[in-house]
Amino acid sequence: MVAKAWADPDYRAWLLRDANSAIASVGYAGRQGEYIVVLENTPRRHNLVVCTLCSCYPWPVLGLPPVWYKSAPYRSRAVADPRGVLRDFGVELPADTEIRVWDSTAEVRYLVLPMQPEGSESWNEEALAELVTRDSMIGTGLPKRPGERI
Amino acid sequence: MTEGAHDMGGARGFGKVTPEANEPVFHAEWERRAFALTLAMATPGGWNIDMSRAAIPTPAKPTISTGSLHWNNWWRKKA
Repeated sequence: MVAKAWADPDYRAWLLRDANSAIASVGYAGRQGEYIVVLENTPRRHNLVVCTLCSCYPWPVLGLPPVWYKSAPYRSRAVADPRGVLRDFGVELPADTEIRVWDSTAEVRYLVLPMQPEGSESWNEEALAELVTRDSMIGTGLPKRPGERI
Repeated sequence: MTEGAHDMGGARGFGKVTPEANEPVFHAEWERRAFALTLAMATPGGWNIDMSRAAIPTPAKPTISTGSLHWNNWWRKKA
């Protein structure tokens, strides 16, 4: 889905406009994913998703959440100190990148569309998919770079 | 400050986030069963998400960071 958005500008626009339809078109739908909003990362803005209330997470696209997502340290600090939380994940963003934190509600589930890594511009969707990580779609990680590709 | 285990945003004192490398979806078989039973009970209308949140117990101190506790909460919801 992320790779498809990187490779296909029309799909990307659809995903950002009407995530549920665009996601369903590639076969993902179900409980905990009834209303998904996709957040686009840009050089100026990095999006980070949390559920401070409990553990809301877009199951149909990401599976069940990891323990850290449900843990008190992540839920309490993501909104107060997002840069510090990102450092816990080994991620350091430029000082002038705005970090926007999205707190899930009872209904809305967020999914981050990470930036396409430099050097992968000519890759096809299948190759691009290898660069997408779960954490990059939560906002606690970045996609793999072309050199990191397995 | 926080009320129960909810509205945790901004609370202090819980320490660092500690991601687990190659984390399994469930850490023990009972966690899988607690999840399956709870979801199964939602279908006949046994609970909804608001009831589910309300059933999560209040942490006595900031030690509720383990996955086992999370699934333990799921189990307790049915009691």
